[in-house]
Amino acid sequence: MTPRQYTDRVTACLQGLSRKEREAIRQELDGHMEDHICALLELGYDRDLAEKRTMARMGDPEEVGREMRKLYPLRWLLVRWCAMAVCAVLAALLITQVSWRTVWWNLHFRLADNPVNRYEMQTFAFLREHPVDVRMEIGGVTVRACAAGIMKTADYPYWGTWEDKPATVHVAAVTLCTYSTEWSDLSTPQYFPGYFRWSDRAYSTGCDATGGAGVTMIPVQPGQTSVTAVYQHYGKDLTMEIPLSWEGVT
Amino acid sequence: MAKKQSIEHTHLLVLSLLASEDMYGYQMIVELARRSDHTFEMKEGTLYPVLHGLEKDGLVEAYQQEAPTGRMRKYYHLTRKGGAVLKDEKEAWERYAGAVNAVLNCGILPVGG
Repeated sequence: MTPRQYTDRVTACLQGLSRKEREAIRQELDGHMEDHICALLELGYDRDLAEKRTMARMGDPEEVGREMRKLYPLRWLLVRWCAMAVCAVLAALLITQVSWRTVWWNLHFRLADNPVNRYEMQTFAFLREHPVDVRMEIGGVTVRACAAGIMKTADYPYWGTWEDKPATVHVAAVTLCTYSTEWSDLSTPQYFPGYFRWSDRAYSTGCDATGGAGVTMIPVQPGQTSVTAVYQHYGKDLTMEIPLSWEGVT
Repeated sequence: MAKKQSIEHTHLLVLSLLASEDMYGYQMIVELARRSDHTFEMKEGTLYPVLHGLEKDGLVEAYQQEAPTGRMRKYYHLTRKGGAVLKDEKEAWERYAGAVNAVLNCGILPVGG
């Protein structure tokens, strides 16, 4: 057996390791055998005999490989299997022509801390500082309130366009987004065309959360600490109470 | 000539070797043979799983250094944790060896007895 064959047999036992780790072990063993051979050459051995003596002293390569393998228990194999599983899932999703944008939004609205932190209208930019996290499952769709703040009706540009608007000075601005309730349903865009009844004032307004995020305006009285959204789902009232902070509101 | 022994306390011996200086694998084998007056016989390849195990446990750490031949050698260094383990293991071994000696010496008849 040559040194190369010896290290080949050791590393053959180490398929669970990365290529880099296997090469490092091979180099270390190579170095050892070379040191031993050189020491014997200095003692006057010829190359062949020095190599034979060295190999005889190294011991069983499979035993070394087995002992080494115990130190790296399936770590890389697990990584490989996970990578293969991910690739398989990606391939399956590609084959079924999944909308990656939908998957991303479903994950983002479900998992992100403050999923809506960019507002098209500067009016609502203050909501970035007022995150909340209240969720309501409505069948396959979950509606999530992710920000809620108070603003004056005077500062709300569209207040004047509201019909039958109540006599109030403040409105709560609540950001809602929607995502698939089921993890297995990430590729389905979740539109929510329903309507909420807000608080106990029987004041209805549509939920803007139709497949994206939107800000809903709810009239509030001074000091009101929360608004409640009620949705009637197959005859049953589902509710979501969203806390309000009046901090900094004049 | 003394009969060669296989090594059962390789970890302890390796840690002990590294207590004096940083060493690479082959150097440890040579030093082990020298210190034990060639009593211990070790299949040299089996040293490396031991070294890697000690490294994984944080008892030794490895670094590369160029040998005079230009080849890179992997040296092992005893860590503080390794030093503490060595101290404990050494004390345990001495207690054990002392106990064995005490038992063996009880069976020896006094000279002329």
